[in-house]
Amino acid sequence: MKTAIYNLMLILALSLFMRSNALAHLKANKPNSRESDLQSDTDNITRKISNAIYNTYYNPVYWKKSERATFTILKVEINKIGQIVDIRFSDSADSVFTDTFVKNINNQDFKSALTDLVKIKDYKNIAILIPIYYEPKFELHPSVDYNHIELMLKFNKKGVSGNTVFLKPVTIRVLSKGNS
Amino acid sequence: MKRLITRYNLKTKSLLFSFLAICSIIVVYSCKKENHTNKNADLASPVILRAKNWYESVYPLVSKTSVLSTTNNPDLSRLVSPDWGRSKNYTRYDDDVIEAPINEDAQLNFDLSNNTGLIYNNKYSRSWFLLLNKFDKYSAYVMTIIADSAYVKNNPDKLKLNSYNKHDANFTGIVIYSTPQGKYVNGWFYKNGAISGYLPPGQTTEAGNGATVQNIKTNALITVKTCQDFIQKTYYNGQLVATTVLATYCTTTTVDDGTGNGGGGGSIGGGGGGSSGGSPNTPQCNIPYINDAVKTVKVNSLQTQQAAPPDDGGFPPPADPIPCPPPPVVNLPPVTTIITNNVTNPCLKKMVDATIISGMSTQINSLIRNVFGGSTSINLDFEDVNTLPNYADGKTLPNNGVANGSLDAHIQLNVNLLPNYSQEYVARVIMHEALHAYMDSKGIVADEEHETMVINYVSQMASSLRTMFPNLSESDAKNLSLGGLQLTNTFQTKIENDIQLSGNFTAINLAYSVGSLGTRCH
Repeated sequence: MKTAIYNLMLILALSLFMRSNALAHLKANKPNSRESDLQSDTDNITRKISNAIYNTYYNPVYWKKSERATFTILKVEINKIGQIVDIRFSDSADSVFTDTFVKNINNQDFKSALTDLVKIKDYKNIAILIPIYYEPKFELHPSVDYNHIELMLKFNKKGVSGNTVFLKPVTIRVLSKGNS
Repeated sequence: MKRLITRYNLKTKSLLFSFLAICSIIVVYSCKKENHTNKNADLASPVILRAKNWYESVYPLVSKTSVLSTTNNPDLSRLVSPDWGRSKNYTRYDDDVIEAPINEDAQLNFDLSNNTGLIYNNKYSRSWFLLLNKFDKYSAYVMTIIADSAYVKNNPDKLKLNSYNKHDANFTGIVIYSTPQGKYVNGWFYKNGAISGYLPPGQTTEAGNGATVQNIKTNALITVKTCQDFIQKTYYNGQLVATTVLATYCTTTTVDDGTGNGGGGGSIGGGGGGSSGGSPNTPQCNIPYINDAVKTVKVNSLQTQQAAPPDDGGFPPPADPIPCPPPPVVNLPPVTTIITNNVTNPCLKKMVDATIISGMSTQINSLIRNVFGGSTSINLDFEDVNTLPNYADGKTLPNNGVANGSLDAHIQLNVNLLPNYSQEYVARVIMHEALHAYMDSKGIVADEEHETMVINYVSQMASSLRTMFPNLSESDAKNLSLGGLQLTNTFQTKIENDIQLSGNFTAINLAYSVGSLGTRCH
């Protein structure tokens, strides 16, 4: 009798598994509206983050301060309970670059966008990395020192450890003439 | 021995039990299969079989091509097919109608937008195949409804209340007909279950009085043609596969600001003025538009066709007989544009006015004005500044798009450089900056705006420049329009290598700026 019950359970489990698989397959093939809304929200938030960075450096006020090509990574650290605990550029960013950002983001919704992103993606115990390429005199193809590239991956002289997630790089190109 | 027999009995019983369980599952599954077969039983109907054979001979089943985004008509017949098993068959307007949903394993969605932005979201679209047989001649269409979110009220199941022969009593949205190959046939706007507008293919021009147009103080009558495109985006299984302009609706309006002191900023619409322009592109309709006034009018239809009932509760047919559209075709949103020309340098000031006025007849200005038309007001504010570095011709200060129905775009022009440059060059800078304002309001990511501009607007900018400066060659106009876009990937990878287009890019831009080519203020 036990064997019979076992057999029956096995058959039922198999048919349930087949059915749930079929449902999962259907779900996978049909994106639901909540997912697309979530994607749209995420796109909107990452756009805000990207724009805040871009507008800080695609800005004549900054161009006057620095003509130094800067390849850097902005690291946003999130702790175990989903709080932003640190925002920092990698060591390749000089103080002019960093200070301009610190000063500028106070006037923007950069931090609130970051908070929204962390919340919507449920990021915990992870570092968000945003590569930033500031390329003045772009059409003249200025060279960049290799040390600068090495520093791009260091934060306070240390590499990144733990889980990370990359956002889309922000590229700021400035011409030597005729920017508009 | 007794234990052995007992164990034997147990084993037999358990095997028997398992056998019965398997049998019951087989029975359940075969019932399901039978249901499914029953669902397809309609295929046995000769009417549907004939229609299916005809459809498959005209639109043969081909292996689905890899789906690529296109700006042409999306060939829907290669993406989806009619689900004959779930089709309905009835008669309407003397047509034998077969209405078939699209195959269940595919998801086809459409949204509709104009230059102002999204009108109807693809989340609320639903499509069917229609096969109409009149006098033994078939025609096939894809009918799509895209409902207004206010109608759906977060209940997408409401879409199911609509079909070709019966729409929901308060349906609000649009019904669009296209051929299976994706060619747009026509469309009808609905508001609360009644037709509120007709969207014929091609360009429709109306003499418009409703739209308030921007008004630059010029002491002159200006005939303004404002056009807006109705753009359909096609999504196949959630992926955007085509962006198609279905129709263009234009209004022409004559503006006279009446003040004419020639300077010092602009003002809201005012003046009004008369209207002029083309005649409406009325469809060849043969059923009067149904409203209370004409409900009792007897319709004399074509010899063998029976007149459409005053309102049979369904959507208009994709082809004859076409009900006449209601008087207003499509209402353009009211446009209130304030362009403040705060430029003090006389040469630059003149160029700002001239660019905006001349640009009015062009798509660029139409684009700019229409996107702002969705808001209650747009403040496009030009000023000349001496704070820009000598490697910046101009700068559009970033804004956060349309907020509280109002958009402020602040455009700075470099007074140290531009007054010495040619008017052609300056006009390009103004257009370039105005497009930044446009893209800001559209939510385009800032570091993609130049890329978007080089891909989508260079030709239109060149065309506008040639409208303003008829002696400007096409090549020079294009090279000027590419100014400031050398930093884009498209320029670097494609245009720079195209000698014919940009071989003289640097030389031409220098000649029209610090050189001597072009029209000069001084």
